[in-house]
Amino acid sequence: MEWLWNTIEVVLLVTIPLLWGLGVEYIFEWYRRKKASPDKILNND
Amino acid sequence: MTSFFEIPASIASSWHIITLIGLGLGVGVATGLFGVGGAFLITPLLNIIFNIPYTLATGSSMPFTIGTSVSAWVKHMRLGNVALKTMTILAGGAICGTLLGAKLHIFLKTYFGEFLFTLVMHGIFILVLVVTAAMVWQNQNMNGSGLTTSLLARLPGRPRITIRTAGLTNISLPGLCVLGLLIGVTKGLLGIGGGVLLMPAMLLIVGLTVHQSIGTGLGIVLFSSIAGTIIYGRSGQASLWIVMPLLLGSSIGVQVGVWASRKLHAAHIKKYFSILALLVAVIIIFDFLKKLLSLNP
Repeated sequence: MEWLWNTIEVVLLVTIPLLWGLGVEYIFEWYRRKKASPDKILNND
Repeated sequence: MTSFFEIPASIASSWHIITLIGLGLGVGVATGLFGVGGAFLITPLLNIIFNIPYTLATGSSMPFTIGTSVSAWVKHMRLGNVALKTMTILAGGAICGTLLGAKLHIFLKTYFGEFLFTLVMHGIFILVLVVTAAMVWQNQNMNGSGLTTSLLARLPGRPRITIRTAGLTNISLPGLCVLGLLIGVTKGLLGIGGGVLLMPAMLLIVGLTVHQSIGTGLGIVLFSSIAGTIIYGRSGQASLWIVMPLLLGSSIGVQVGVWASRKLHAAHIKKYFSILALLVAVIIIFDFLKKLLSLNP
């Protein structure tokens, strides 16, 4: 079973940072778009 | 129980985790400010601050670089800054090079032993940092709009390719593969390869523009880091317990760095980068001397 744990470990080592990086990027992108959206400007008017 | 569930002894206390987050924050600021991956800071500092062996530090810098490079690469893909053909060829060479570099890392460690190997790695990092700092300092006023002719176009050998996105013709394919291989070897051996080596290589050897160099370079770093993570992770020499606090800190630090970069002049940013690289080199020199002196009774 050692090989199975090892494979799981390697898969997690690649996917967790990958998803973390993409997640952070999309969250900040979503925040930037929300901040600059025309709807917000209209609502504020 | 495998190494995945075990916290490395060097970072066992909560203070170590907090310091790791702080280190990630600092490196993140450097990433946002200078556009570098940060592995050239992470690898030696993990060894000096936490006494983490260089193999585990190099292995752990690989998944860290995945986390930092993927988001920027996606952004550059959206902006059309990635020369896909060049990236694929160079990434292919870099993946093979990373495998060779990791093998060389293990060979040197076995040959020199843990203590001498640390000194050798310290020496290599000092050299890389000083050379990089000197190069950046000298080219402070270079606007880096790419070369009109690529250095690879002057190399002999067939087949030749055209990079349409950069308007470059008659590029030597073997030359491009060898360049990718060399970048990969440094990645596999030291864990570095992004802003420190790839940017100058893309600009000065391939002849891409600054934006294409950054976008394409990030893709190469991403794929070679994935290869490096698999190679080091298979032998249990990469730890998520080290990577995740670093990523947490760097995610915040990058935003601070990007904000700061808008406030500073480009020429000043290059000067600060040189100073930072020299500062880290001095820290490594001190640790190098401390370790050398500890040899004598």
